[in-house]
This record gives sequence, C-alpha cells and structure tokens, in this order.
Amino acid sequence: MPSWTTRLLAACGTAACLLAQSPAAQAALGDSAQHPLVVAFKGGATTLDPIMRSETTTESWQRNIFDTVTILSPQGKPVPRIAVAWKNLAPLSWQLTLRAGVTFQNGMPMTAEDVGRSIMDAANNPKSQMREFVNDVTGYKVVNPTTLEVAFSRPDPLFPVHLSAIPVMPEALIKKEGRAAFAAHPIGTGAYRFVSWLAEDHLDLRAWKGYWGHPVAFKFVRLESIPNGATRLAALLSGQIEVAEKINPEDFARVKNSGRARITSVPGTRTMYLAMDDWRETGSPGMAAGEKNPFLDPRVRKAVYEAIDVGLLREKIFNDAATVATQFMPPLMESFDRGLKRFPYSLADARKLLAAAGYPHGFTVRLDATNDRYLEDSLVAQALAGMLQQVGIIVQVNAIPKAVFFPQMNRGDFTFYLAGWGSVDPLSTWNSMFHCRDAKLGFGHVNREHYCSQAADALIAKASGSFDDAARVKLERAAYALADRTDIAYIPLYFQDEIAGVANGVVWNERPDGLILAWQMQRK
Amino acid sequence: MLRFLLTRAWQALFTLWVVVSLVFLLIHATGDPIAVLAPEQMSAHSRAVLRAALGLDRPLAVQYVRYLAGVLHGNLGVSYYSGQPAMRLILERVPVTLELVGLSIGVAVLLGVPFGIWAAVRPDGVADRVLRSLSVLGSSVPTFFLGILLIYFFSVAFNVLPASGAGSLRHYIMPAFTLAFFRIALFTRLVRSTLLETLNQNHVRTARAKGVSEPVVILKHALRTALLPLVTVFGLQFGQLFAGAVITETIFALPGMNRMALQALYRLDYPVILAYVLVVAAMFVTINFLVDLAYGLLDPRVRHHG
Repeated sequence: MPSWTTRLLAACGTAACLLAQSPAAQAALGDSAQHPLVVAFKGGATTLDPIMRSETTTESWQRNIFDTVTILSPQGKPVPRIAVAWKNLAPLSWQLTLRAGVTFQNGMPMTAEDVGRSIMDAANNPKSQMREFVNDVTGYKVVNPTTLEVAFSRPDPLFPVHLSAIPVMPEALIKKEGRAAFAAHPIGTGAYRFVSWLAEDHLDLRAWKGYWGHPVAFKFVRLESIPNGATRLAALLSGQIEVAEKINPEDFARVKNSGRARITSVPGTRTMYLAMDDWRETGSPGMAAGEKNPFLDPRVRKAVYEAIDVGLLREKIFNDAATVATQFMPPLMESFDRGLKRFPYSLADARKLLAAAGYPHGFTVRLDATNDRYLEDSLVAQALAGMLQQVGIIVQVNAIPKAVFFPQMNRGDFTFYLAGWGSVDPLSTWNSMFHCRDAKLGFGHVNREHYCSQAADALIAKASGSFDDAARVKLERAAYALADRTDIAYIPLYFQDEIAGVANGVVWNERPDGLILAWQMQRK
Repeated sequence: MLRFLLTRAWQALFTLWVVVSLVFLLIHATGDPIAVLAPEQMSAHSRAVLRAALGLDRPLAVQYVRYLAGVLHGNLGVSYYSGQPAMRLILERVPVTLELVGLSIGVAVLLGVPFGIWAAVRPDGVADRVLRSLSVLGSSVPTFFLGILLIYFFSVAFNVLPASGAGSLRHYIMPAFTLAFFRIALFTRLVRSTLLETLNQNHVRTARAKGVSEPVVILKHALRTALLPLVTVFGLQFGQLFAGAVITETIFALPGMNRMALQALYRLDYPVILAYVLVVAAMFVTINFLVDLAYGLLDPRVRHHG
C-alpha cells in the first residue's frame, strides 16, 4: 500500500472510523446467518434446476445442494459420491452400487429409483444440458435398494466420468410439484439446504443436519455474484467476503501483499486453441477474394505453430496463471501424455517452412476471436497477431462479442480463429471436434475445419469399445498424436487456470474442473 | 380531463406496441440464442430438440404473432436460462433500481437546487465561482471511475462501507452518490441559469417594486417560473437513470434490473430482453405523463390549452 494511504489510515480517528464494522466482534465466521462464509463469483447461477444449465458457476452453486452420482478427484479420476462402486458387466451394461442411508433434505429417503430416473431425466428432458453425458443410456433396472443396472445403446467406457455431471434429484417430488416449483425451492441430498436466493445475484445456504457425509466446517454460506473484478478484489481485501474467484492476473501481487488473503490456482480443463480452415481451396471468409487458402498446406500450419511463443503469452498476459499446452487434451484427461512437448518456438524454422510452402513473404489473413468469453481473449488475439507478423503473416484481428461470434463460428464462417474447448473426455472430444464429419452418425458436428483422418478415427472407434483402461488410453494417445503432431488439426495454445483469492481463515484449493464447493472448504 | 387521459392511454399503448415490435425484430436479426445457450459439446440433434422446446424453430412471423398474443394475455414467456417467467425476473429487480434512482435523484435535487439558487443570487460571487468549477468536475468524471475510487477509499482503505450488494441503506450510499454526482452539477447549473433569466423578468421587477422582501421574491416569484425547465430535465433524468444505471449496478453488484437486462442481451435471452424493454417503455410513458401533469400545475397557460 502506498505510504499516503497509510498516513490517511493513521489520521483516520474520526466519525468515519466509528462507523466501521468489525467482523471479529460478531459470531465466528460461518456460525450465524448474519455472518456467513461468503464466496463471490463473477457471474451467478441462472437456475437451480440441476440439469438445465451446463456451465461452471451455475453448477458450483447447485452442487452445494445436490450430489452428483460421482465426482472427479483433483487427478481427474471419478471417485464415489452417491455411487460407491461401479462395475462394467457387459459392453452395454454398467452396474452401480449406491450409498445406503442417504436422505433428501425434505426427509424422504433416496432410492435407487431416484438415481435411475435422474439419469433418464438428464438424458431425455428436451431442455437438459446434460444430455451429452448420458446420450447412449437406454434404460435402467433396480436390482435391489442399493444396486442399479444401466443399459446402453453403445458402449460407454467413460460412464463413471460422465456420472460426475449427473445430479441426483427427488424424482417423486418433481413429478408431484413440477419442475418450475422444484427449481424455486430445490431439494437435494447435498451438504447444504436451500434458504433463499435471487437468480444470478446470491444464494443463501444452511448446513443440513441429515447430510450423509462429513459435517461441514461452515454452517452458513452465501454464494454471491460480484461481476466487476475490482469490486470483487476490494470486497476480499476489506474482509467483506472470504473467497473471490477469477482474480485478474495483474492483481495477484496486491492479494499476496495484503496479508489478508492468498491466491490459489490450478490448470483447468479448458484448452485455448487456434483453428484453421482445412477444406476450402479458395474464398475462405477472412481471406482476400479468390486467394488460395494457405492453411491447406501442413507446412503452413506448423509454421504458425512454431511462430507462437506461448510462454510469453503465459508470462505477460496471464502473470503465469495459465499452463502452456503441450497437446490438445488438458492434464485432467486420461489421454494426457506427460512425455509430450510442444514443437519448439522457432522463428527461423517457421520462416523456412513458409518459404517451402510457397509463402516466403507470408500472407494476409483475418483472425476472429471473442472479446467477452475467455479470460483476456482479445488481448491474446492481439498478441498472436504481433507474433505472426514476425514471420510475415499479416493478421487482422476481429474481436467480437460471443453472441455474434458463436453463430458465425458454427456456420463455418471463419478461416482462422481463436476459441476454447471445455473438455468432457477424450472420446467425445474426438468424436465432435476431430472426427471426419458425418451428419448421419452425428460425428464431427463441431469439426468446423473439416479435419479428417480415417486412421485416427479407427483408433478412437476401437478405444470407444474398450473397457481395459490401459489399452484404451494407448489408443487415444495414438489418435491424438496423429492429430496434434502429424496433421496439426488445431494449434493448442494454453490451458486456462482456475484462480481464486482466499481469505486467511479459510482453506480452499481450486479444483481443475473449476467447481467451487463450500462443503469442501475448511477452517484454518 | 377524461378525454385527455383517454388520448394519452391510447398513445401509450401504440408506443408500447411499436417499441416491442421493433425490438422483437431487431433482436431476432442479431443472432441465434441456441448458439450461446447450448454447451459446446451439445450434439446437433440435442440442439434441434432444445430449439423446438423453446419454440425457436418456427418461422419468425409465427413467433411474433405468438409473442404478441402472449403479451395480450399478460404472459411474456419464460427466460431461456432460468425457466422463470421473464417479467418476474425483471420486476423483482425493479425495487433495487428504483431505490437507487430515487435516492440519487433526491440527493441531486436537494443539493443541486439550493446550490443553484445560491449561485444565482450573487452571480460571479465566491460561491458562484466555486460551484461553477465544481460542476465542471461533476459533469466530467466518468461513473465507473468515481465508483471504483469510492470503493477504494471507503471499502479498502477505511473499510467503512460495503463494496457490493444491496442489503441495507449503507449499501446504497456509494452507488447513489456515484449516480448523483453528475446530476448535482447538472441541477446546479440549470437552476442558476434559469433563475438568472427570470430575475430580470417583469413580474419579478414588479414584485420588487411593491417592496416584497428579497427571499420571497426569489423563492416565490422567480423560482416558480424557473422550475418549469427543471421539471422537464428531472423527468428526462429519471428515465435516463432508470434505464441507464447499468454501470453503477455492475460495479457495486446491485441486483438491479439493468444488470439483468445486460446479461440477457449478451446471451440473447429474448423473453427477458423484451420484458425489460416493456418495463422501461412503460416507465417512460408514465414519467412523460406525470411531467405533463406537473406542467399544468405549475403553468396556468398549459392547463388551459390541455
């Protein structure tokens, strides 16, 4: 803090200071409704119906009330929540062993039927955003009160991972009162009971006595939205809140030097990448009319790759709070290969490749990007333009709002663009982002670049039916090596880190999946 | 009077219809809500299912007619994101915005009008000159900067006021002052200039000639005439603030309707955007009506032509 503020503080002995509220004078943190543990998010949950929105903040708020069937460990492995064990019986059948003695917050016992119907709801409700996780589920059978068998139309070796997105809901209650009433007063099996909320503004929670898990450290919790980064930081540093997510990289030092809070960060599951048109010979949008599309030549793709210094982006734009991507799939995925390195950053090599491809003086292209979707997105696009200019590629940055960007991107209106992919698993990622396009079978539906490698597709097809973890991972790695190393289907740049500022009295470490869960927080 | 009211009501309905139709067509031209709503991983099939569930697969004309029919029945549809009725999402946030706007306009009038009188009584006196320079400052400091500055001093440095939220009156002090700052300056300048003008008019001179004391001349004879433009500006400012407090609401994390509307706009949540537009348009119509009534009360000439 600059010395003049210190002097002002010292001089402040008047009425203003008498107004100051001292939190320490009240009950201990989280022990009363007047003094709850407060966690501030950039946005807020839009709904408390736990299958209607697949988005991290909404899920964070909901998952203090609802349990999912499994949950991901910090290493990305599915670990027990409502299901305590799982076994693959046949290619088209999984068996789940459920936790006994779990009760909903209205006192009704949770049954295997509730779990089965929750999965079907997530798969079949037209507005469900969890459909992709359980798309292949066809039905379930209750074997006994704690055993459930789930049937599939296609093998799903990653079903336990997918179950980490499926909330357990009181299905009888929903049927009785309807989804709207249920969402207005949600009831789950989680650690906290719903008290009150205002959509996208705040959610007040209270520890639930009948919770099956470890008692929580903080009885009263408030989750709230503070959209402005500077205000969120001010609220954390003034002791008004205990946890503030998404601290801007340039403010890390202020948090560390405040003596009141610390920064926690971990590589997340979002890959930021560059995509390049892989199918149009000429007339790609973003190129001059009639100009040949240079990205069809793998040498050009590699030249772009090698001309980008991701380490510099990480250091200058993200203050080290991003992780350089060595491959498309982030560390949490089973296919992540620790041994891989990026192609080295080399302007000389990039120039050589461009010359060999017939572009000794580079070319001109538009780079499309969002300006309100990813952390520092338009800044990254500008930096990339500067880097590519060094090898003669003149990049015009077109940074636009997401509401305009995504429809254009989905129509395939871009030649060269910066976007992010939040991964679910390596198999579904392949089938939607990398697989040769096949509308009938639903493959490659977001493969807007028309990348196509039948050899790699065959490897993934084989992996999709493999319940032997080691064998499957080997197949996945081979397929991704083809796309990442040989063909350069996309240029992976960095994985966004999950970042939060945490007050001294609270123990919380960010999760790679980005969820912020009050029931996992501890007192220091 | 009844005919006056009926004409105004008919005009108001027509205005609302035009506004809603324009906005309906404009937002449908801007993009595809499904592209923003659906998670990246969602398959083409699931997207189609979602589109149909929200009725967005129908031709635009059908959607428009359905929407208007819904509005006539008082049903503005549900938010694509929350599943809650769009009108309720906006209406439950109106009180916060009204409190914020009411407080800041109140502060602006209570300070701005006396300041203006003070400045006008002795033009180019010390008070006038100080107030004039202050009002230049007030008109030129941007809202977001002032807001952050206040937060820095009163939340971080002195820790006397909460940086965010809307739990109590204390929460409104900084946001209301942030919004009022510019308006204090505005009202000061306005009252000063109109008062100076009226002080030279015949009826004021007559009053003085009759030997009426100076405070009565200013407060009763001059100020009443000077209030007319103030009422107009007051109405305009109220409407502008009501629909324009978005930066202040965002900085101080106040759950006002403007912040909600901005989110809805980013995400193309059509029903919420339209509900917001309706509320704001209705508010403007009401304010204009009240301003007209106030004119009648203050100025006999308007009353007789009304």
